[in-house]
Formats: sequence, structure tokens, C-alpha cells
Amino acid sequence: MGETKQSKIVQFLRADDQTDRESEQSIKSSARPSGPARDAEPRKISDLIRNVRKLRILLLHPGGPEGKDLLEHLNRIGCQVSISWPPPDAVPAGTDVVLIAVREIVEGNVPFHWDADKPVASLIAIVDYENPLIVERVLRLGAQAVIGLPLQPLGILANLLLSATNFDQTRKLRLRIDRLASRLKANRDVSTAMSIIMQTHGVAEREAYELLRSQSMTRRTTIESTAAAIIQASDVLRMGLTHKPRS
Amino acid sequence: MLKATLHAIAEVNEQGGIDGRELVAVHYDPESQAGHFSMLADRLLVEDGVRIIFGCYMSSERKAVLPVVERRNGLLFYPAQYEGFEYSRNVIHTGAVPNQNSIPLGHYLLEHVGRSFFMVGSDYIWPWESDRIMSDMIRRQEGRIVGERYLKLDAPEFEYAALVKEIRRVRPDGIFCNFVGDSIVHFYRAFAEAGLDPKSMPIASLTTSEADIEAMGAEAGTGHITAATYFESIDSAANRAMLARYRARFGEAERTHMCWESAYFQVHLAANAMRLAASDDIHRIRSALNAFEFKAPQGRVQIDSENGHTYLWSRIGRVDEAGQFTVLFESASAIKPDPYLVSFDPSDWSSQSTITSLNGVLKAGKGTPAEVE
Repeated sequence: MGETKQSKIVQFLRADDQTDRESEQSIKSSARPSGPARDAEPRKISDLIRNVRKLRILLLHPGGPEGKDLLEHLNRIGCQVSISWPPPDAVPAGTDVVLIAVREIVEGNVPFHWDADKPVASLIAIVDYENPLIVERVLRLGAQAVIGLPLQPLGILANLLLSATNFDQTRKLRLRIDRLASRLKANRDVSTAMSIIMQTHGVAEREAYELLRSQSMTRRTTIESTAAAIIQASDVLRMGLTHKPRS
Repeated sequence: MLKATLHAIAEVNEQGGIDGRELVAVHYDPESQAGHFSMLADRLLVEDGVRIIFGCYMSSERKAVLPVVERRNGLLFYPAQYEGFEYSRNVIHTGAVPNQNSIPLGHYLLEHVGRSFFMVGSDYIWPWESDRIMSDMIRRQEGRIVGERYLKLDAPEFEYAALVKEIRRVRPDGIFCNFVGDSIVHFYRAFAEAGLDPKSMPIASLTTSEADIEAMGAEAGTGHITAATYFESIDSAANRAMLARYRARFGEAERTHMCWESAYFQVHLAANAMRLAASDDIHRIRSALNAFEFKAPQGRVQIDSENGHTYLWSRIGRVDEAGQFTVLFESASAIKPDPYLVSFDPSDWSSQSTITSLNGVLKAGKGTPAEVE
């Protein structure tokens, strides 16, 4: 056997490391458009910026002169904008950026259903007051960018793109965290299952791993899944007794 | 506040105007509608040749005028207390921010009224923010907030009675009240009708003024407390002289109050700045505003060049049977405005100026207030 038991397990772990590193790269590269190139090379603009006009925007603002100015400027940039007030129960599918008038929902006690932990689009807060109660709401909503009123057209384009980038990055980070968390659990489960096998069958680590692997193949399932099943079975088998089952 | 402004403008003209040029008042009444405020401010600056606007009361009205003065290069002088967290090159604030009214009042309440408080007010941002900073201060100093309720501006009478009933059940040491407009009258009357006693459970307010006491009747008002930069009863030569001149012009029955006084002195500030700048360019006027003090009826005031707000005096007063305020406390000096103060922490170095000013003069409850000079 060319590889040691150690390297088999490590290989199992390393395979995921590779995927991890790739996803990390992808997060990094999407975050930053390429930096200033040497004079000879053309300056590269990221796809996000190039495709700004493809962004679908939902403007949640009650109207009035400020709302109108904002809408005009978004149209000037060339984005597709729809307007709604009061905020709908659900954001239309395909929306990329939501702009929300914060003071109006706070002061008017207007319902705005937004899951800050699992946002469906990027969120830009429109603020005309900056006192702590308003800012608190902005932070709790998990807004990625802020537009202040009275309206200054300069800054809206940058904020649109910043919010989209921040949202994308956060989404990727969240996915990565979820993956890492399940990997961590899987590793723990594999470790625990191996201990159970070693105890139950009186075998060493290498054999235990082989048993786990071949069981998984027989059952046509993943090593993590088999490990979880072993742990659950072992818990049930304990029958509420405190001593460990004899092998 | 209109009469205060007109009176001050007339005084400026009587003093020779701005190097012989008369100030002309152009007045519009936006009828408390935000949209009207924007439109009329625009008309003043574009069609009527105005550079300086005096006015607005509620924050929503000021916010409606803000984009207009910024776009049209005007200068708004805003005379009312508000929640802070604002700065504009085109606005001067001459009313109190929370470190100039909420903090001194909180300090007084904790020292002299008790430990437990019920917060009430009108249902919008300014009362919420005032309550937030007051609650924060009270809790930090081991006081308790035993209730918090807000009523819409158009709430029906029975809601005030219900609120008072709830307060009576909870028995706080005091009530912190931030109602505005007619709500003040409804609330104080409901309190009186329920037979509650201001001596054991005073209402403490940042807004209730001489005008509100007149509207509610001295019986409903007596014994309650207000924190303000100015009271009509201030016993100083400057105030007495100003009242005499004002009543000579508009009649003996005229009352003054905190917003009246800001509206009054801000005109004089603007006029002095115009004389000093020898210009009606608003940025030159704004620079000139930083260069002098003015002897207002409340005491010497000055614009703070860092933030466009005003150094203001803080006073606590209690309503007497005649509907006037007996001054209980006066700050040692005008308090530097701190519009971006989030949380008052006495141990924080940036709060030191507020704290120093709180070491003010406590007046005997029944005595006459001392000269303010």
C-alpha cells in the first residue's frame, strides 16, 4: 500500500481544502476589479460594472420630489427600476438591488419584511435623518450602502455597485461558511464514528477507516452520512445505559 | 414666532438697518404642510430676492426646506429645539439640541425628583430621540424607566385619559413628557382631571411653554416643570427691556417663550453678521456669525463655528399659579452645542463642557431668580 492511513484521511480532507482555496480565490477576485495595470495593458473593468444597466432595481420610496429625483437619476444611469409603496410583502424575483426609505418605515410604522440574515437582494438604505434610531434600523436591516438626502446624484452609481459587490461577497462568504461548517461536522462525525468502530470491533485506526469506507460504498452513500448513521445507532444502542456496550 | 421675527426686524431697522439699508420681511404661511414649505422657500429665494429665511418648527418642515436652501444658496435660521444629528452649510440652529436641554433636565430630575420615570410624547422622531437619550442617562445613573408610550398628534381625548390611568397605576416619581402642540394641553388636562398631584409626580417637559400654559389654564399647568433656554419670567435687565419694547409694539397681553426668544435673537444675529460682513453673500455672513457674541434675553449667546449651532443657556422652571415659570435652576454658563452626541457619558472627556455647565445655580424654589448677566 503506497499511501499510509494517515494520508488517506488527510487526502479526504485535502480534497475539500482545494475546493475551499478555489472558492476563496473566487471571492477575492469578484471583490476587487483588477488593479491599475501597467501602461501597455488595457485597464480591465469587472463584469459587474460593465453590466450595471442589467441591474434590476426596486425603489421603495413614498414619492415626492426626492423620490422623483432619485428615480430620474437611476433611469439616467440606465438601470431598470420599478417603484413600490408601501413595500410589498415579497420582493419580486430577479430583483438585484432594493432601495428602502428608512425614516418612512420607522416613523410611519410601515411593515417592511426583510430578512437581514438571508437577504434576497442587496439593500441600500435611503436616509434623510441620521439620529441613532434611524441608523440603528439601517444597521439591523443589514444595508450594504447608504444614500443620503437631500439627493446628491454623485455617489449613487458607486453606491449601487458597492452594494451589489458587498451583497455578492457576503453571499459567497455565507456559502463558504455553510460549507465549512458542514465539513467541520462531517470531520467530527467521521472521527467519532471511527472511535466507535475501533471500540466495537477492536480494530486500529486504519482498519476502522477502511470499514467505514467500504460500508459507505456498499450502501451507496457518503462517508459522512454513514458516520452519522453509526453515531445515531450507537446512541440508540446505548439504551440509556451509562456503560459502553461491550465489543 | 412670526411676531418675534417681525419685532426684531423692526428693531434692526430702527437701529439704522444694515448700514442704512432696511430689512424687508417677506412672509408666507405654509400651513404646516411639508410640501408647502419646500415650494414657498423656493419662491422666496428665487422670485422674491431673499437670501436669509427665518422659520420652520417641526423637523419635517426643516427637512423640506433643507434641499431648497442648499440648492438655491440660501441660509435658514431654525429657532426650535430638535433631535440633533444634522449639519448643513446653509442652516444655522438657534434652538437647543439634547445636550442643552435633555441632559440638564435629566440631571435635575435625578437630583431633585426621583429615580423612576414614565416617558410619554407625540409619536414621531423628535420625542423618540429625546426619550432615548433621557432614558439612557437615567438608566446609567441607576434610575428606572417604568413605562413608555407615544400618542399620534391627532389622538382622541380618551387616549390621554387612558394614558394617565396607566401612569397612575405605575406610580413613577416623575413623567418625562414630549408632546407637541395641542397634545400638551390634552395631556396636562387629563392629568389634572385624574386628580394627580404635581408635587408627588411632576410632568417634566422640553416643550411646554408659557403659551401652552395659557392654553391649558394655570390650574392644569401649576407645579409642573419645563427645561428651556428661556422663560418669560427671567429677571434680567435685558429681558425686561426687551419685553417692554415688544409689548409697546404688539400689546401688553403678548407672551414670550423659548421659541419666541430664539426667533427674536436669531434675527439680530443675522443683522449683526450682515453689518460685519458688509455683504449679503451667505457664506460671508456665515463666517461673520462666528465672530461675535450677542446679548440675548436668555444671556450672551454665540454661534459655534464648528457646527452651526448655538451656545445656549439651560434653565429649569416650575409653573406658578400665575402661569409663569419660577426658575429653579440655571446653568453656570451657556452650554456648547453637541449635535452628534449619541449617549451622555459623564466620564467621557467630550462631555466635560456639558458637565461643567451643569454646575449651575440652584434657586430656592420660591425665591426670585437672580440677575442673569
